[in-house]
Amino acid sequence: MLQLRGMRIILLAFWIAIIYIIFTVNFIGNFVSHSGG
Amino acid sequence: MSRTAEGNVLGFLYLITVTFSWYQIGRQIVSRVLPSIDPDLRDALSIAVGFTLLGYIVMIMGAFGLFSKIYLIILATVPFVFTVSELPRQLRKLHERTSRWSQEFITTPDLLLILVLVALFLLDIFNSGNSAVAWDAAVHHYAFPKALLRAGGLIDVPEIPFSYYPGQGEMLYTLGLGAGGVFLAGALSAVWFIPIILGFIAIGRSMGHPRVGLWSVLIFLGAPLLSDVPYSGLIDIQYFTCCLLAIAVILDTNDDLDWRKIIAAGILTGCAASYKHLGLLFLAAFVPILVWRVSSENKSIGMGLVGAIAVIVLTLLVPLPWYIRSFEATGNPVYPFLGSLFVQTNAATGSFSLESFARTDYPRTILGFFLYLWRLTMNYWDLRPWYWAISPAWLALLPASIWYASYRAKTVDETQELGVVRLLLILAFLATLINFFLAPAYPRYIYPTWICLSITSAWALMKIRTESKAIGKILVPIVLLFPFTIVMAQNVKTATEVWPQYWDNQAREDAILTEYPSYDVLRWANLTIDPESSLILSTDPKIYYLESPAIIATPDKESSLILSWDSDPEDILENWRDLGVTHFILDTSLISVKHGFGIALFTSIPGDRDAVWLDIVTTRQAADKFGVGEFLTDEEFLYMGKLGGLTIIDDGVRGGRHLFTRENADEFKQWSRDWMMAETILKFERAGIIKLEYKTYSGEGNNRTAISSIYSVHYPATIEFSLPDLPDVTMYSTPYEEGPVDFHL
Repeated sequence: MLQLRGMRIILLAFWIAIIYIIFTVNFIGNFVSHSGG
Repeated sequence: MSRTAEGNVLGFLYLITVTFSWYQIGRQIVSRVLPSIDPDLRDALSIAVGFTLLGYIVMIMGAFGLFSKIYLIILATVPFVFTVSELPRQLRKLHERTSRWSQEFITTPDLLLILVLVALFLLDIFNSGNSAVAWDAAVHHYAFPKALLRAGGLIDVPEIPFSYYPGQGEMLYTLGLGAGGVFLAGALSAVWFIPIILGFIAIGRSMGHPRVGLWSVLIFLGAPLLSDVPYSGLIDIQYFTCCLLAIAVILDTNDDLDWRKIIAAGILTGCAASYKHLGLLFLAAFVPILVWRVSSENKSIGMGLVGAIAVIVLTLLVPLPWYIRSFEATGNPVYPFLGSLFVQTNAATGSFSLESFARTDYPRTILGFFLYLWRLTMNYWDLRPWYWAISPAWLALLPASIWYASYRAKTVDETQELGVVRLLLILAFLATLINFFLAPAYPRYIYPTWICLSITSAWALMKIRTESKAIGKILVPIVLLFPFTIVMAQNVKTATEVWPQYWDNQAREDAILTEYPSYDVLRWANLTIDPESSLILSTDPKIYYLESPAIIATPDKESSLILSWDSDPEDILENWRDLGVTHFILDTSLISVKHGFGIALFTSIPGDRDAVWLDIVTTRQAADKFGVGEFLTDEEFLYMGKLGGLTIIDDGVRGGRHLFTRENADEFKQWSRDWMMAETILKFERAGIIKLEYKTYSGEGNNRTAISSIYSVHYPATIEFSLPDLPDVTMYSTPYEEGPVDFHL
């Protein structure tokens, strides 16, 4: 039970990390292309 | 002290007098209706209700023709004289309030977060002095008040088709611009920051976690879309604050959810609708959850249903004066929507409709809906050239919110907490669903969704932290501060740009020019032409910056006064003559207008032929002969070819050969009606009806294009005249048969 709970929170944190990483890459990409243009 | 600085100091004083007195007046009303509600929520409601009431007082003054500076200054100051006696008592109470806050927010991070919010609020007030207002403000929210101030009262302004929308926010801006200038107008928006913070914290309290309220403010404001709104002259802040407070009222646990609260919620949704029609869409999402909440709290579904009817009636009653005004002018109380239900008599000639409003480029399917939040988070930015629009926290923490919300409650407190979270998730779902079908995918049209998801995200974050301290330690600072810090940095940067504008007129001019290079032409017009005897027709709708009366002539958003651009050019000219148009501004920095000239050229090149070959050199030669060479660069012509899906044969000849067929021409013409405008303008210019007075450019070398031009209008002496044909450009192309030999259709 404890293992399942630990697994679940890691999955939730993993999803959050993915979104923030994609968001950051996207942001930097937009920022660079706008600043450059 | 310069006049600019003096105006801003007075503007600051009026901000204090207006805010305090209308907060007090609002408080008198709110305390009577909801005597035992959460004190922070009561203050938030007092500002929202007080300011909305102020909007109606301004409206009544306008109806009596009292929009002169002196009357507006009286309105900004006299109520303060009657309410100032309350000031010492309020200051004493402030101590009581802060001591409650210091019990709830005891940790150092809490205090730091509060300090950061206070800093952002002060920055927003400061940035209200920015003269380069948002595009929508320059076109509508400040342009309409400026026309009213010029006329001295609340008159019909058919020149601006947007002037028939609900105008509560514009009334506050009329007071701001009339009494104190651009700073006061912006700051009267920025003040709404206070009810936003208090509203979120009140919702946190109703869940039993004031800290969730505090965190949710940071998540909510960690989006440029929201941090920018307070000082951009938009009316969204007033609208979504009223939505937030309506939600907070039905969630408040200080008192039973009785009729008084239902009435208060209805008044608030009505206030939201009096600022923006979107309040009616919010109502559609809000009513089901109101029925649920009222029924379950009172164990009576009947009360829930009657409560829903009461809220609907109140929501339609509060903005009624605006609906009546719109009905009188256009025959449609909710203009420009539901046009097919009413006989519209005085509406804009453009294609305003619910269908065109909701025009989107994504599929309206179940998968499309699930991808909606993803798209909004990753693909869109809105309003200003921000690099993203909304907070990633909403998408990132949604699975966690849903997961924790599915838990079974074990205690009474947990039942209350989970009840609030589930209600907010359902409201977010409904608000998003309704907008998914009825509104375009602008993140700023689903503020109610962002309000709900900010709270559920903050709550989920707290749950994660409770479950795993280690993960919480990393996640909490990232979610609360990562995008928020960029927002703060951007606000500080804006503040450095606004600072000189407080003292120096030249700095104000430069700031507007940086934001809108075509302002150069508007400024030329202000310095050169006589505002008393001139009338400008402008495809550049930023008419707020013009001193002369002006009519919006942007294709698809034309004022009802003018014939639409797909009319016969001779009739258009007679229409201009009847109106007494003296000048015409052509803004080709607007992509659609620019493309209009491109389409007019492309569709003229084939002549009677079914298909021809073009390349960039022949297109450039044709463009110069046609008179549109200054409007588009080579790159833009090539881009148009790509957008139109032209077949391109890269045979090494001058950047590739573009096959242009009759079907392509028809498709280009479907883009918009701007090409008809382009043809009419080119004919007017050839006939000497419009003569160039001043033109401004952007870019250098090959990238140099004309972005805005102003022409004087010269009418022919007789009605009997005919306009010249456009130049023949058919020779600037290769017949299909002579094109690349190995290519066949």
